Amino acid sequence: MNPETDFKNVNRRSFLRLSACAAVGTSSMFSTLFNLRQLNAATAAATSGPDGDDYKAIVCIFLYGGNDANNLLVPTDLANYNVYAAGREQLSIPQAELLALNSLNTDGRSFGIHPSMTGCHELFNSGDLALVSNVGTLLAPATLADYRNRTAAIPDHLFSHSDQQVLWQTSVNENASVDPTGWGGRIADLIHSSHNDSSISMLVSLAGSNFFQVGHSLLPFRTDANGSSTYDILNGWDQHATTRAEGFRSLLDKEYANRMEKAFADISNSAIKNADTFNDAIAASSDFEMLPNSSLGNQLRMVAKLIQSRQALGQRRQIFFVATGGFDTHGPQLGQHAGLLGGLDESIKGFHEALTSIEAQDCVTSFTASDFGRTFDTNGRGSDHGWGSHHIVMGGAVNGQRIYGDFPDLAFGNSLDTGRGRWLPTTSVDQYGATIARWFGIPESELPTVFPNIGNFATSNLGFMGN
Amino acid sequence: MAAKNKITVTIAAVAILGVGVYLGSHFGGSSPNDEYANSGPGKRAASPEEVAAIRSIPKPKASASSAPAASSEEPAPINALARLNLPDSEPIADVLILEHLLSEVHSLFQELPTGEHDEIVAFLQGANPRQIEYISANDPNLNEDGKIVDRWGTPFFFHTLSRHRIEVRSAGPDQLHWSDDDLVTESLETQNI
Repeated sequence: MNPETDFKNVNRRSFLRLSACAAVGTSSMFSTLFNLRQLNAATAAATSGPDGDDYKAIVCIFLYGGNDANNLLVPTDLANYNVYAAGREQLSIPQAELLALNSLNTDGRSFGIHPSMTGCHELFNSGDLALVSNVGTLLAPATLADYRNRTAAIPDHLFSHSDQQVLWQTSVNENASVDPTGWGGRIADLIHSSHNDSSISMLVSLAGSNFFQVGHSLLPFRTDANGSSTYDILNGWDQHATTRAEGFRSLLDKEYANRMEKAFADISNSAIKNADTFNDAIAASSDFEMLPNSSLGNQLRMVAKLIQSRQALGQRRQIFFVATGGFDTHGPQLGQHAGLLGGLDESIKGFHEALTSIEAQDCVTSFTASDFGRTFDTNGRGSDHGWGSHHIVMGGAVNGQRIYGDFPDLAFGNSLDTGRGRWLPTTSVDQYGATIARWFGIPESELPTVFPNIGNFATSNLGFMGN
Repeated sequence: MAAKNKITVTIAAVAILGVGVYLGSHFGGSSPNDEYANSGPGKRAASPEEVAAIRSIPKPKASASSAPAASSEEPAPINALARLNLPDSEPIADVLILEHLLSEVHSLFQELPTGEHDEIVAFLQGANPRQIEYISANDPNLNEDGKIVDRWGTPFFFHTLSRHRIEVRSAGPDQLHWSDDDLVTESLETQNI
């Protein structure tokens, strides 16, 4: 038995030694966090403009269900298009309908995007949008042999909706020793106090609960497209309603000896105050009528309002989460998927116009994420769960008009085909996220805090973000 | 006096425990297994015959440890698909039989295999940490590609919602998956997909 770990037998000397070790360990951890926050504060001060507005925001657009990006980005040169058409069979899009991308890539390849995505096509060709190929959940680089023989670390529960949604949003594998927080939340933990002066979280979700925005110390402020909810009891116009509201507020303002009662009153007061602050801040914001009246369009409209209201909210860094579903296209896919991509496109284009109208397009970066890609082959009517997928990054700070990452060879049985055209990803979620996080202000040295697996990959910067 | 007090306290504790157990059993909240309960929107209750068919499936006899059991005796085949596709049962019973089999797997392994049909069948044929063979390689319900087929000869679709939940689908008489006559018991309304 080790006397130092058996607390019944611990003596004064070993207690002091253990305490000293714990103190040193704890102080170094807090020191790192403190130094980082100091660094961030200094950086923020140095980069502030005359009005102190060095604002930046990132917007995660989550496509629930697993988007079939095999039809989002399609090769258009004849040889590769023929491989595509042969592999996709009835899911293939006629070559003439694809919208040709005027890419700055110099590899000689040509690509088009889905015919429903006219807005994204325009944004790509004008340099405000980029595509990142074959991104997916990875713990370390892996080959097909690694996948089959498990000779490299492979994420758990591939091809499963919930598990892959969580992994995309947390970048933490189930059995890892890291706390299961989201990478958006971990970014906020590092940056919130040095950039924001607000009681409202810099993490705002327009799409309910999610893992992406769960941090150690910060949680998302959840709202909806209509603004923050308030207590019904505080609303009303007649004398009774006013009296009722005053009574309710006086109850919350009382001093309670009981801890539970005090906690309830504190949380309720805080919620009322935050809701009032939130709703007051956006009261004078624009209507952004260029955004469609759809679920995603309305979520992004509220995001635009919050960005416009950033100074009233006291926030110079914000992370938003919006989402839309229906991408689990096992059934008749072609028409359904065209509608889904068309809706996404309309919202992205409208959001870009909204940001441009308030001159915020250069300080906001939006990116897509999804459970997984889909099988390149068809099940006869649609496609099934896959792995690697192509994604969209949009914003004025994006080095647009380019396709990043490695576009997979589309022939079945290639070196990335884990079966049925489920592409083994060649770019990890960590690399994708780290490229955005660095632009957002996370220094290189702290990227492993946010992306625990980033050290396993050759680069943490895919190059699609400018300054 | 002290002994009397101790007896009184003991009786009171037992009484409180009893009341707690009664209330818990009658008014308790949902359990983790509720997601397998056959109720809610879009679902139908199994008939007594279907329930009897499902209950007739033998439970796996696994060793206590997670390591494969070292035994000189060949374990009796489980034959989990014995009552699948019987002409005298309702077609939906086939879906329920497979769902029951998966719930048995989950209760033993605490999670389900994820992936394509072939990967799930491989797991059920013994490629699992305990090498339990739920179905044999020559089961008559497997087609020539080794897939479990419904009574119309179409492979079932295993829709992996999470490591705890797989939706089992039969393509139904039209043999087309994701069409109106599909046989399915799960409701996907609560899923973010």
